[in-house]
Amino acid sequence: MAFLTALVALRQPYLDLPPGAVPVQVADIPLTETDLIQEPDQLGNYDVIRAFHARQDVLADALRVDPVTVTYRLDSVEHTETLSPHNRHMGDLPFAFWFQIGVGMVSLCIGGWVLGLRREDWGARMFALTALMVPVFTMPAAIYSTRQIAIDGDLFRLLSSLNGVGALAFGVALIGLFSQYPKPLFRPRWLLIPAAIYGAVAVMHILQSGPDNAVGFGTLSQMALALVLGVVQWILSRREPLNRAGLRWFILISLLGCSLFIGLSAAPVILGLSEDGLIPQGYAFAFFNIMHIGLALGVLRYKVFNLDRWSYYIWLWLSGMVLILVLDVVLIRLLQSQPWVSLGAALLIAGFVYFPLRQLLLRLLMQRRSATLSGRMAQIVNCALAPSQREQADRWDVLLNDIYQPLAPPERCVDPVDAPRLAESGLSLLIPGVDGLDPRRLRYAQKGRRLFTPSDLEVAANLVQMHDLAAESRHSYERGVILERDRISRDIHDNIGAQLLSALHSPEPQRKDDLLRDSLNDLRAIINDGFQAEYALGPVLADLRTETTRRLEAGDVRCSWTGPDLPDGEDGPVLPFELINGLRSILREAVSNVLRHANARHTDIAISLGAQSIDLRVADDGCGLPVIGQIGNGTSNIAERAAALDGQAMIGRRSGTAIGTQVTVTLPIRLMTLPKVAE
Amino acid sequence: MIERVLILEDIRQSREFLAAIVARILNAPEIAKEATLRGAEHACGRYRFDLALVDLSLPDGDGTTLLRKLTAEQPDCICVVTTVMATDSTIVGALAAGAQGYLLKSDPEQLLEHHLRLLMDGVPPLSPQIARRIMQHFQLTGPTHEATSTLTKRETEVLRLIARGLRVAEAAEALGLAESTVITHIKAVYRKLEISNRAEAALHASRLGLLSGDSAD
Repeated sequence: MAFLTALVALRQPYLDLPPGAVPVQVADIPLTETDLIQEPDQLGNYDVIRAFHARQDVLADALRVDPVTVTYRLDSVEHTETLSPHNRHMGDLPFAFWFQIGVGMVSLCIGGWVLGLRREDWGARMFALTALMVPVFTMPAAIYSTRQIAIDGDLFRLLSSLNGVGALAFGVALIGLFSQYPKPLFRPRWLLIPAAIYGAVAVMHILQSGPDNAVGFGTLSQMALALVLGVVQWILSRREPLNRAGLRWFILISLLGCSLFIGLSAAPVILGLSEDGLIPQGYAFAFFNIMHIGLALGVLRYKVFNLDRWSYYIWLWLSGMVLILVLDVVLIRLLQSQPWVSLGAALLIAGFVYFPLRQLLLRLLMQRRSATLSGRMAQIVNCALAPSQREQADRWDVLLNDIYQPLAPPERCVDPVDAPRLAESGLSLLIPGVDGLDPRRLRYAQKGRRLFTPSDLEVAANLVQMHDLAAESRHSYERGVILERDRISRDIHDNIGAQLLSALHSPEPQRKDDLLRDSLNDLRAIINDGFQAEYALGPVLADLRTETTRRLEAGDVRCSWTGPDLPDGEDGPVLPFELINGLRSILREAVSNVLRHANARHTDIAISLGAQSIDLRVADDGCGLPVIGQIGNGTSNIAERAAALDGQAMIGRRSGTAIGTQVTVTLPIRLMTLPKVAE
Repeated sequence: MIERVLILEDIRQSREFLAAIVARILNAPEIAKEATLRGAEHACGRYRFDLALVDLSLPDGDGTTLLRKLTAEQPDCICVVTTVMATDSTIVGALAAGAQGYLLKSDPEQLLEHHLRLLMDGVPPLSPQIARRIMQHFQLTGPTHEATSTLTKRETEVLRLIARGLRVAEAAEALGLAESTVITHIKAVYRKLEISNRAEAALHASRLGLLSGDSAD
């Protein structure tokens, strides 16, 4: 086909004019502007067209006379030369020619590709038909629109007819396409009606009779009809997001292709707004290629969900274009001034009016339509911290529902899902299982008004991550609680339990009472401070000092206390509970011994803090130890306690005096942390 | 002269134990023994008491309620908290509610008697733990109150020494004061605790708009 076209084109007369030269006169025939028009259909009236064809005939004949005198204008200067016309060479064919051939070829390929893939689909068939018709109107146009001066009138008429028939057939196919895709609106056989009507128009065009501009108005009405069908399809696909997404892309790309062609090339001339189209028709044909490539993607539903996102932007861009064009047309009408000036003004207005408007639209459309996590933090944390897994599952579903508003409640998914992903061409979104919950499948985003998009995936990934983070901190908190509970029960067992047990098994009633009192005191300490693993030495010693001196005072024993030299306002080193508890028990035991056995009047108590140990000395002025070997219960308790803490206990005569007893205990300090500074 | 004593204590053995001590020290006054808050409140409606030993955690409520009632209705009654497991902050709370002192029921009988006697002589008890807690209390609430409810330098010093385990006599020696002066300071601390508590209550009340009628008058 392309070959045939090129062959015909090469048989047309050609003069070796310098590049950029505009012929003004051939032989003795002065050329008018009309003679050089690219698309004679733009002349409108059939009489004018017939006259034009006759002129082409005359000119073509003149160009067959060798040599021929030609006057041309180059850089506003007229030159007259005598040249010998010859048939065109391959190299003489301008770029615009090959461009139109190319447009036709591309359309043909895409049409064949889509038809091959979906042979049984009427939508695809109609699509292929539109694609097939593109070369029918581009290739003849390629010949006559890139002619140098003139071609044979009859040939011109034939090519023009072919072009018109192709364009009308294209329109019929477009109507067919939108009547069958995505849903058949009626049986394909009803398409014979528009085919017949526009067939009649084509016949009138060939016969050059009937109303003016039949083809132009025909294609315009076809476009309008296709648009109406598109709108109908749109309304019918209300609850079918996949169809709707495909359709949105479809209508968009068809409109883009056809309306750009008609709007920029055909309509201004048909409606009498301008002498020429804004873009030469040959190049404007490329808009059909845009359309076909886009449609092919849509028909194949190739990642429609991806296209869906972009189609919004393109819609907005397109509406901007239309606005600019409309403004331009209005301004041309109003100002009757230079087209480029008014285009500039249109752009200016678009800048002030349209772009802010577009921004607003963009925000409205994109925000409302895309899922977002903002403001959901409380809900996410609430879900992760749900008291039971069932509750958590319920809250998770509510959360997903609120974010994506799927048509149906989230379904539990049986198959494992590693990461969020789209399924069924974006109809559903798979959310991986979080925190032991089953994965979820969401279907029909935003009550079925849209498809799930990659931005939903991103939101889902963030959601899962945030939930996992919250759940993880909850788990570590729970682990901490369990650890703490274990420690408390161990402490109760080791201390209170041991004390109560020794009280129970103690034969002396007084010691029983002491042990029970100690248990109560320890319990109160626990209630006051909780089970701490570490205690500051300062406050512990202060309490011990008061307790000890009171006990001794009540027993009529005077007491002098020497504590470690802790800096004023500081609580001293922080020591492990075991050590503090051991120290307390040993001191209590030693004081009990003094009160019970020593018959003393004065007791010296000294506690000193070394780098490695705590030293305790309790010395009384009592009756001294009984006979060696008769060491009492209390003293062996002290020795045992000290030994349990890897310390040493010495019980013996008070040094330096003849009377009294002295208990010396050294407890090594382990696990000592830095001194805590009091507030 | 102590003529009538109220003992509010829910554990019977402890109640009898305390009653025995009171009878011995105070020369057998009339003792009303109550096991519940309601019973004690009822008794307060019928008699005037000179001394009340009040346990804090009771089956039907908090002993602090009775302390407030007694402070308001029988200001001459000496109120003493008797506790075994109450936290320091609860005890400070009871002191702020009007108690003049507290006794630990787990102390040996001898020690309890000793403390009770001191209390009757007007020497309030003050353990290092409670002293620390009171210091904390004034650190936290101090700046918001007027001078009458903040501690003087001397009072703070006394508290600090007591908190380090010094007895009243030792603290007096360390500060170069008479023992009676130190006791006066401790009493002042107790009083300020109560005042600060009242001031706080008044502040809350005015915040809630409960006192707006008064200020309008």
